Amino acid sequence: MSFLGIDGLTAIRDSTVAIVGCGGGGSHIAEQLARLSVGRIYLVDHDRLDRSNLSRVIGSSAEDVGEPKTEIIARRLSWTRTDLVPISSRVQSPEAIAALQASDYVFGSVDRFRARDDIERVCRQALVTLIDIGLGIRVERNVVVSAAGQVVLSIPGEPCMRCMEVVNETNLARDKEEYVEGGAPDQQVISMNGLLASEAVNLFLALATGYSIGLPLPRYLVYNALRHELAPHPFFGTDSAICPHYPLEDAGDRVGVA
Amino acid sequence: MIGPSRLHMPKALATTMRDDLARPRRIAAERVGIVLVRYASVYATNVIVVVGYEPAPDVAYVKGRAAANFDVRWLMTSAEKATEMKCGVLWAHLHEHSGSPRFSPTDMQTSRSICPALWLACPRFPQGALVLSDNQASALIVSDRQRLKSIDVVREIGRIQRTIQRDGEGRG
Repeated sequence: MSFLGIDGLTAIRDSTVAIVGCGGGGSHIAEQLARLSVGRIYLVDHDRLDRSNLSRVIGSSAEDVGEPKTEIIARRLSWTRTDLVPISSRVQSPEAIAALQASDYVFGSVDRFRARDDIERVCRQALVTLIDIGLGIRVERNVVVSAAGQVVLSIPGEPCMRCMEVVNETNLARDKEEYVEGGAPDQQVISMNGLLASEAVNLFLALATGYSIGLPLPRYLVYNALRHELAPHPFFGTDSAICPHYPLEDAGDRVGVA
Repeated sequence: MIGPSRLHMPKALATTMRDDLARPRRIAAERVGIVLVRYASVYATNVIVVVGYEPAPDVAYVKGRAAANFDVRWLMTSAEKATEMKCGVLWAHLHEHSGSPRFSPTDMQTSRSICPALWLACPRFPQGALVLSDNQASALIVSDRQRLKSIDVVREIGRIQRTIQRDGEGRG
């Protein structure tokens, strides 16, 4: 018998999930969710596989270079029970918005803070829970001065990524910087991405099945790869708080259908 | 538009509704309320979001044979206010049991008479009905042919969120 129980397994099977960003983090998340037999996964990414992605996109091979990342993942996991739907367009496209808003959970795994902000806005509009992961490494004069990331749980009505300062004007202005500041595009971050992706999927399991009922879910986990630490943010805990950026009463479309 | 029809309801609001609808009553066997709703977006009109709740005041109830006879003028006035707030409405009541609730024949009769009128008054926003149980919910929505159809998935959004209704399951 699964530790999640029959109800837990049914809840997973009944879930519809969207993954935005099918690179190093998103491919890990897709792999795990499909093997957990999530009902449906929308794979959203406009990008095609570059040779430099081979070091971190799970399941990709040299023969896949030039193909849409969404289709590579969907093909690789086609043997699972999960219905995989590739959407090879940007998150701002109508088909991507429709998919995110028709999901139970959205996983964000994107490089840019502008995209992160857009994903959260789309989710909040439709009252969809978002689990976001991100990783950044800073190299100065051939020395790694920081290797840090985060896993953020953004539940409608509760603090958003702006409340938690994950998205702020400084980060939005830094959007032009590379994945690894001062480094080449081919980076050895597969293990760090895997850690963040795994914790994001753990949060999904807790939310969907309630297996950790009674224990508070962390809202913001901070990852320090140099110290090998993944810990709750000291200022953004599990206490209930209201988000001033996305009030619940402002959700949905105020124009309506013609 | 992609996937089945869905209703996304914040868990805190669902708790508020249940608490209000379960209050002791002298005026009727069942209380009713108004749930304020919108489409998620122009690209996801199959997804309806719950944004507010208004209880029915005691003066809104009238005598009659049904469990919750309410003054239709109160409902239409509430719907007008909802339109001003850029919302549609689901008229809501509670079946006090656990598990997936079904609309009773009386509920269906009431919904068939009320919901199309709401839709004709304001077709821009979703209009319909919601029945809650102690832990689940079912919903109906007026389609563009003024017919009522079931919402496929009703989801309470919060720290533990499960699919709380699938079409074709439940009891009345």
